[in-house]
Amino acid sequence: MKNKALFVVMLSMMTTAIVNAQSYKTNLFVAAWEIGVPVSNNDFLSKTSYTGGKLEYRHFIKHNVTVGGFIGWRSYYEYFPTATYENPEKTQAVTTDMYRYIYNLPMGANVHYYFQGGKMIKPFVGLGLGAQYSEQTVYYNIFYSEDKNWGFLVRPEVGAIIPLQDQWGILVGATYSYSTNKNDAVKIKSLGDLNFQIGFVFSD
Amino acid sequence: MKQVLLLLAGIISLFGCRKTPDTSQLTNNFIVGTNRDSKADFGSYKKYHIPDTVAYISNTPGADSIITGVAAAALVTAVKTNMTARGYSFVARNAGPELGLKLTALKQVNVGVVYPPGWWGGYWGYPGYCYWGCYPPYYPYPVAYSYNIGDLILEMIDLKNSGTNHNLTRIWILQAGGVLSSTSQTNLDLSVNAINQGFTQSPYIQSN
Repeated sequence: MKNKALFVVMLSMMTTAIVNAQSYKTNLFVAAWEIGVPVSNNDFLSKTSYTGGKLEYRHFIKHNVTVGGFIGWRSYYEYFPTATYENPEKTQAVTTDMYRYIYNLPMGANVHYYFQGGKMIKPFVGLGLGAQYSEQTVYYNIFYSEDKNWGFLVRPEVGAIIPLQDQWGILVGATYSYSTNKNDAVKIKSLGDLNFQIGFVFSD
Repeated sequence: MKQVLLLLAGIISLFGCRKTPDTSQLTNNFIVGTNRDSKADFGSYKKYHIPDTVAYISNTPGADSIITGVAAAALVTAVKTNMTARGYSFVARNAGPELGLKLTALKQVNVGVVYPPGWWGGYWGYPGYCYWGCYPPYYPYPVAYSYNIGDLILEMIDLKNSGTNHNLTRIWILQAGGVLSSTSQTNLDLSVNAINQGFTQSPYIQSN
């Protein structure tokens, strides 16, 4: 009798789990606009970027966990008025004004965990791992100097999905993006930026 | 799925894959680079000489010559003014100058063609003023647009320590360059400003 009762409890738990799972969608597609704030390479440039975005795919493997992939892009640039730059030995000096520019293309795989939340908001935390392609360019007069490099990328994330309709919602969130890109010429040892994002979520 | 694609297209077109800076906002002032021989003792010289002409080199065949007249005078005067201010005395070529200065102007006509790396290699000792590795000019203009790149080079040669084998050491070089204006006076102003800037960023040029 005791065993039978346990069996019923287990069955009802399983049923609940299945029902819960079915109430979730299978896939999420995210397209978001990102604002980027450089945090680790401020000597090179520190101006906030409003020209970035990301595309993301998330697949539910449990009712509260997704795995997927992402790709993003972002352009940072900042104008530096005319100044003189010297080498450490003080034997060379160059005077010019310039634009400094960084173009980042982060990509990788990610995993997200969704908290229970309420009907109105579904908070989540996530972690992305992958690679970041980056270009660092200095434009002066009509010349430019450029370096292109790849780095290992780690991208923790917090955010929330605000469902609007059955298939649509809004995503808000923030990520910290750290990558190991190096450029000795302009003394960049790594690239790090904070990204604030707002976008749409489509589910099916 | 169609909605997703539309959404992606919309986002991409709204924010663009890449936004580069508006380089037309950069000043047209020449980039001014200077490079010194770290062993040179600039205080040990008193007398210098500079010819009153400017060597002219271009990538137009047969156009190499020397610049004389008002333009050359303006450039040479700018050098002399700076040298005087730093305590050096101008002397005639045959009056035993300890320093020899020489001005060279280079002009390159670009018609949307990227010149191969090392184009300037034909000119001895042109090290380039690019700290981060020199790349061909960036083309912010339509390809069909033709423009000129100018470079001004001022060299300082040690005549005092040339020795019996006439080993001339260049102890200082000023290189200035950038896009040229269609107006000669503007280019001359850019050049004079560049000479002044070159001396400003080289405070070690000072006779004792």
